[in-house]
Amino acid sequence: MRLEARQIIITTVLLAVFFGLGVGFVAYTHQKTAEQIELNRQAVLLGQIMEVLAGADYDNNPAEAPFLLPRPAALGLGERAEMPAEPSPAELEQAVDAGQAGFRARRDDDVVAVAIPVVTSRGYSGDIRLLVGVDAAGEVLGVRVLQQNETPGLGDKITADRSDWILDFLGRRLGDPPAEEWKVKKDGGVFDQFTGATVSPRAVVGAVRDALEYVRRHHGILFDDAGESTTEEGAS
Amino acid sequence: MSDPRLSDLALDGLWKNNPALVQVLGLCPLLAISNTTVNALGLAIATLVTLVVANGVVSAIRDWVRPEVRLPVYVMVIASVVTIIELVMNAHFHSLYNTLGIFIPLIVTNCIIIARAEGFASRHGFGFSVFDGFVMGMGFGLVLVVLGAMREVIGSGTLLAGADQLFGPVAMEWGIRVLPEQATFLLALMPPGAFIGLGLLVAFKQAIDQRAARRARALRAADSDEPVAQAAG
Repeated sequence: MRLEARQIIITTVLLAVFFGLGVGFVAYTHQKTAEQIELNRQAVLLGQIMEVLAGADYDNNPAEAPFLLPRPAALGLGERAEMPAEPSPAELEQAVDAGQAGFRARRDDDVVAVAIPVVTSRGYSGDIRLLVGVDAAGEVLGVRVLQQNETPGLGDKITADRSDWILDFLGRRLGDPPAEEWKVKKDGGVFDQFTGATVSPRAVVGAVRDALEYVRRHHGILFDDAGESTTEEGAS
Repeated sequence: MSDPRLSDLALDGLWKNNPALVQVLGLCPLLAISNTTVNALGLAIATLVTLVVANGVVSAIRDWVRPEVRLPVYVMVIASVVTIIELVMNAHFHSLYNTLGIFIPLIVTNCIIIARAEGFASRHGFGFSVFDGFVMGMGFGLVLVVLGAMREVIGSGTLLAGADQLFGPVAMEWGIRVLPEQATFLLALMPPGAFIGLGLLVAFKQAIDQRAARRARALRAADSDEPVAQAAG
């Protein structure tokens, strides 16, 4: 009996030692790589933002100018409990991680364009997450697919590396084409669909239109129209 | 237990007891990630490193681990190794890390790794275990890469597209178009294509083995005939 108890204790201690070593190694690696991982994440984010803001004339780093989007649910980004008037850096970072933040491109302290995420669940397979760049006149500067799970070879032509389709949005705005033609051709609109795949382009067209309508509705907040560029969301 | 011969180990891992074609282990990542050569290569390397390190660690600690708790310890070793590999990939191969996504942490659940830890590394010396991990990883990885290349050529008509994710900017131009886009067969990229492709590879291996066996039989028969022939001559 005594012997058995001793065995159990020894085994437990041994197990604990091994687990401690395992945790130690993982923690050490985490500490060594954390900085590089954060840099990578920032670089990827900045790359995406720069792609959708191509053509805008700005002089800041939009990736470092995130802001909380009012009513994120309108963009399919999920609800947020409340909208702090002056979000702390931690809150902003959290919003960026959760994909609920937009990014402002400024020129001489004026907001010239914003990049905002929009998510649609109307795709063929899972959510499609887009980043849309819009300038102060409401014109599309660029659209990129951040995340999608559409059929390879068919629906995935919505991504920029599979086809040029997504570039059709360049220079479009609400009213060009008129609202009833912000659709794929099959639905009587102006945007192409793909042979064998209508659902994915239809979802993207709808999402971009949602984003533009959102920008129009919240223009004051997004473009900081109240003027004071130092206080974020001061006008809301 | 007597020491195995290295050549036997190599033959086992790469061919006779190939983890993918004979043991048919680790199918989930094998089928899911083999849609392009580069993805397949990335996962193959990650799995290979995991196998080598996990086998080595398990072998090194085998005298201290009590049999009652060996499985939890092995699982912990494998999970730590995979987490470390995941962190390193996230830091240094970020775009590949994004492509492979959930399948890197899922290496933990790849049965090949626990199978080799329990079946081989816990009973053999450090050097042999590392070597076994290496050849088993190579056997799995080669099948993964061949399947990936097959599916990429047939499904997208390209080979090595996106190699820069793995090898950096120098590899930007490595991707080549083998078939025109109109001539591609979409099924190869989808899950059924993965099963069919793997099935063909298994059948191909069987065909080669059977042919070798037939030839060996014929050779034996010829050998036993020979003295007679000589006598007659």
